Amino acid sequence: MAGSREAVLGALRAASPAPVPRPPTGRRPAAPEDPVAALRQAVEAAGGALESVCDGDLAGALARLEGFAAAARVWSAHPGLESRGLPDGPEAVEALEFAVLPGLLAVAECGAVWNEPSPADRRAALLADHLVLAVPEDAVVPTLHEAYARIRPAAEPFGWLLAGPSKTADIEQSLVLGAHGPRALSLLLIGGPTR
Amino acid sequence: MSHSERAATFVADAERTRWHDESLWFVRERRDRAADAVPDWEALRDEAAGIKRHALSRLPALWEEFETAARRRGVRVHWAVDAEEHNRIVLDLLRERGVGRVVKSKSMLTEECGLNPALEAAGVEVVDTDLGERIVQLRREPPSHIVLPAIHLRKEEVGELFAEQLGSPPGLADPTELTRVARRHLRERFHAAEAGITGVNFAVAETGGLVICTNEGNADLGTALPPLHVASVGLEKIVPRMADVAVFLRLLARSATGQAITAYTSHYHGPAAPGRELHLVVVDNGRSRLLAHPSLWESLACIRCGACLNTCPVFRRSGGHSYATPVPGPIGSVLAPAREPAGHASLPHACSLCGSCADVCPVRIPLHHQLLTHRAELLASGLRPGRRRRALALAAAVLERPRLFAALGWLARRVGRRLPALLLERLGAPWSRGRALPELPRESFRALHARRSRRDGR
Repeated sequence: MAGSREAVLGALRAASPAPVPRPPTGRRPAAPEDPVAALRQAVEAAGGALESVCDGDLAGALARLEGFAAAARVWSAHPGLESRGLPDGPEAVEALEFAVLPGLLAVAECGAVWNEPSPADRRAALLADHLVLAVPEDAVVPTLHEAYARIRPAAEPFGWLLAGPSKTADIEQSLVLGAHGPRALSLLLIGGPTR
Repeated sequence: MSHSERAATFVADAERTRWHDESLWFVRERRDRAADAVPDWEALRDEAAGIKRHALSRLPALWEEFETAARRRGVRVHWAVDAEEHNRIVLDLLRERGVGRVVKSKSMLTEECGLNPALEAAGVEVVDTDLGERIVQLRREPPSHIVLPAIHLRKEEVGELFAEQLGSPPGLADPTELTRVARRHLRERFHAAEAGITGVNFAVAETGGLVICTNEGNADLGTALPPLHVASVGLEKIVPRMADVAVFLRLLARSATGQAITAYTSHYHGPAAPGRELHLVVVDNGRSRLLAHPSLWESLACIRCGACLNTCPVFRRSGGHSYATPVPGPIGSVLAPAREPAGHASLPHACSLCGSCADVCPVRIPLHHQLLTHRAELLASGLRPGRRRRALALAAAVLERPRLFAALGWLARRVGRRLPALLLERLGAPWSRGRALPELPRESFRALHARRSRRDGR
């Protein structure tokens, strides 16, 4: 209601404390000496796995993931890989074994990967059993500060930072992977000529 | 009923109390390790505290900036002065679209507004999709913790509940198997839902965007599958710039659970596709009144990480339900009496003033000072029991008069030592219940000090 908008903003104007200046921002902590090692540690702590793909061979790296070669249904949002075994209809995504998404960058300090999925890619990434994120190896940034300086979240209706598989510890603090979404997450750092 | 009366029910089960205490201390230790691994942690807290106070001092301008940017991206922004209006807005949105089934991800604001009962009364099926929240929803009780809603329950109790209500095999007590049962049950509900309701972690003024953090991905499933997304946000959740989110994200999960970041950190800037809708309900419900308080306004900086709950010796040993508020623990004991003093007057006293809450708060809210402020204000407004007021007035009268203090001390040491402990406890009841009176010394501190000074020739 228009009346409520004015009532709320009016109440806020009347209640606002004296202006507090914005603190200086833009401070940056020291970057880790070995960003890839820090990233690996963070990804593993989040319940995921990291593979360095030095030769740029995405297909080869995927084939080495447990269960991938035999997987019947694979969703790919990555330009370097074809989807396979997708039947039509909504049940298609429900039975996905793998979803492969490109990541714009990875954050060494926390293991998160930035991705801007289409609605269909997003559903696939949430419903597949095993999520694979492929990120160029030169796109590892030290912390979220550097990440937000590079990404443009507002350019797309949706974007997300993904760190490890879906998880919960709501029953007696016991960590369980795959609360709702993927039970496993692999981050492939793609190097070499064809990345 | 007071906090201590409700806590009596919880502590009657000594085994549960011990286990609850240890589980939360374990989370606190994980938080410490995560914080210690960040070299600029204290500077980060300063920065976050500064940004929040800056934002709180200019909320009208930030929300107007947000609204303009969000509208441009196709977000429909609604304003609610109180809980009732919030619930009416959400219900109207659902009714207009003929929605009968809703999935909801964790939102302490909708708990505060009593949204679930309001929707259920109108015939809408609401399913909480966070595992812990679903557990307490099935038990028809409120969450006991803002991050770990079912921390007060044992796995055997969850197994019994699921056997009864979800048809799982009786006797199941393995957390992984129980989680799988809930996953299958909730997956059906996600597919059947016609709308998803979520809370909001950060609203970004600069871009008109919303940032929502979960570990399970339940907010994502709830907004990616149904065509309608309704998000509810408190006025205090706005930050000026997108880059500010980095500062808070580095603090939030580490403070909450000791993780570096939640598994899903989702950024919404308008509906994801044509035919989909994104609505935001901006809620006051007492926040503007709290903002006007000369010192308590800083409590609006809270980012709901739960660190103050996990570290609080009273919370760990009394359980979240003893607070009888949507947000329990130290921050809840500041927020609830500010909103409704008469109903929550005992909460600022569920505190030993140890200050551990303020030590871990990522946005540096001086929580124990605020609890002390509440105590003084509640006492002055006559909301505390009369005998407490009289006892404090008596104490003040004695402490203001050094000679009287010395004389009464002398008397207490002479007479008090001869009185049976039981009688002293009776005299001090109910305050002395659960508190052991130390043995009275033979000599006062001042006498001891004077004697030693003489001995040392000072």
